[in-house]
Amino acid sequence: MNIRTIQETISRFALLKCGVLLKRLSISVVFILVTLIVPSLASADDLDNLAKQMQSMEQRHQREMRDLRAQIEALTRQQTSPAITSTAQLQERVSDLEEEVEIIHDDDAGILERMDRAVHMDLYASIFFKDIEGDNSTFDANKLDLVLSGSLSERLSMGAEVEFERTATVDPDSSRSGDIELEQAWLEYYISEGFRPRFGVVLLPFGKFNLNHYEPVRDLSARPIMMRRIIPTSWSDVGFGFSGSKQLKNSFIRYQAYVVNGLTAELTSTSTRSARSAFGKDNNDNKALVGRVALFPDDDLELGFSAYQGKYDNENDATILGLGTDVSYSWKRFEFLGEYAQFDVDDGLLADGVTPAPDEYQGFYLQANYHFWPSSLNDTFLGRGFSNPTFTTSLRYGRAQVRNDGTAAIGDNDEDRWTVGFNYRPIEAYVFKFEYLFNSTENEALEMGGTDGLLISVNAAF
Amino acid sequence: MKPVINALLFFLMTFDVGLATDNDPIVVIVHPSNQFSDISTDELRRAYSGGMQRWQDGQKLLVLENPLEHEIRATFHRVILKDDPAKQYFLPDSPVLFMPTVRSSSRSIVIYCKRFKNAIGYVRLSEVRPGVKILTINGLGPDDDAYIFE
Repeated sequence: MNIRTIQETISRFALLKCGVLLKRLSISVVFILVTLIVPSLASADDLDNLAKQMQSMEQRHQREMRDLRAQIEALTRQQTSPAITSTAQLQERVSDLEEEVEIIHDDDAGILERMDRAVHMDLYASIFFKDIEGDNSTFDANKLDLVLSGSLSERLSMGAEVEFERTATVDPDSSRSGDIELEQAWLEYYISEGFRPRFGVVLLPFGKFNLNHYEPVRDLSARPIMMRRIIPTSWSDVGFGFSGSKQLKNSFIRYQAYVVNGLTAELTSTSTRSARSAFGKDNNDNKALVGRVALFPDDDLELGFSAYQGKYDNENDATILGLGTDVSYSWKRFEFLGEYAQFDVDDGLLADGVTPAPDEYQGFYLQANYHFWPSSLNDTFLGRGFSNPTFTTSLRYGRAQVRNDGTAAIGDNDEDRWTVGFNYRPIEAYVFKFEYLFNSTENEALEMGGTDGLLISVNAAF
Repeated sequence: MKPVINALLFFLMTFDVGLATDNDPIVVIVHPSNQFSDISTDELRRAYSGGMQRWQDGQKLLVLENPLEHEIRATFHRVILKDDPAKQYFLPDSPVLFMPTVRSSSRSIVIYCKRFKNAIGYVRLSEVRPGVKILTINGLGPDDDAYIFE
């Protein structure tokens, strides 16, 4: 093939060269005739133009000849590489190529293995704009979370999450100081799919929201009231336990259970939030048990059941028993979410040694999402370049209550909220959210009291 | 006469193309040493949406995916995941997106399944080559009438 190509190229080169000479000759003859016969008709400008055209043609032909010479040289070089003239040589060549492919495969496998063993760092960020009644409107660099994961071997892995919350500086005396929190830091020793022991700081498996509280995943920015005041999301604690999953005949289950330090006597009349345990200290000798089982009867339905039990007071006498249930269901473009939790608190004293603990914390929320995308927007800035952009409208009602809160104030503390929201996801992990919150409260305010407000946020995970 | 012959030829060509598509169902392939010979649609859905990260024997799953613009991906996602082939999924209880290993062609998927013991991929039956194993889906193979991709 090479020889034939060279021959063809040389022929083309020869023809071109002849053509060039002929063209040059004819143009020169015409030029001479024109200048001799009709000199009076040709102006100086015309002659200049003609000369320029000739120069341009000359340059073009020189370029073409240079290209052709380069092609001939390249083809000649190819022809000088060893030619295959026998079956033995062909076999040798195939064997060489097989070896090269093997090396490439090894490199490829090595890269995959290194990627698997490497520590992966993902991050997600949330930036808010809040305009709540009775407060100054604010831009809020809400959080930046680093999510780390890695495997030392096929069965030894780790996970961690570090959160920077409104952290302009770490100087505790500065008004710009925010929080740096360790939300997770665990080691997992994989025994089987059904039994994966885990040690360290873990997100407690109480309710689905606490396990999956990440802003880019959720369709509304504001957390349900119960997810801050009843279940103190992000609720993590230090201890050990296991997670696992199992395929049953007609459904699939996931489960997690841990022994941890547990909630402390820092409960308040409005929240369990400040009772989250320190990571290296327990206020009593008791350890709490917490666990969740999630059942997937079909592709679109998840039912979760959670439980928590542990002593909370410094005297190690009084117990908190928590029970929760959650559901998530998808039907066509609709998605329905709901969660309920209740913590019954035995009589006991709070950390000050004087105030009695509230009797009960309970709350729930129900949320409906509708996902859609008008194809007419595909060629606009909203859709262009994105393979699956989505709009979502959301409606949520949530309520939280603290009964017999132990303070002098009369009655239960109760707060509820309607949230109406809309979001736009150019891709799944990047979302612009707009929502309005309508709050009402009785007695002590749990979260926002009776103030309504606007919340806009941008959330992304990378 | 000529238009009639042309019409007949056109009809036969169309018929032939139709047959080729119908008789070339999607199959799920793995390495021959994979101890499993069957996979359920639930497991497939979880594998291709990030919910199943290991085989039942503990090996990490290497999920091989076809390019977004390939028709086979649209069919597979419509049948198994019941969703848009471009849809992305978060890993369970995580803000991290599930990233399958996208190969540029079915041939590449076959080669990967041949090389990696933990790989899973899907190709057309006609693209299967020696060195990989076809898994039945819900106990049915591509020859069965009730096979999911028939």
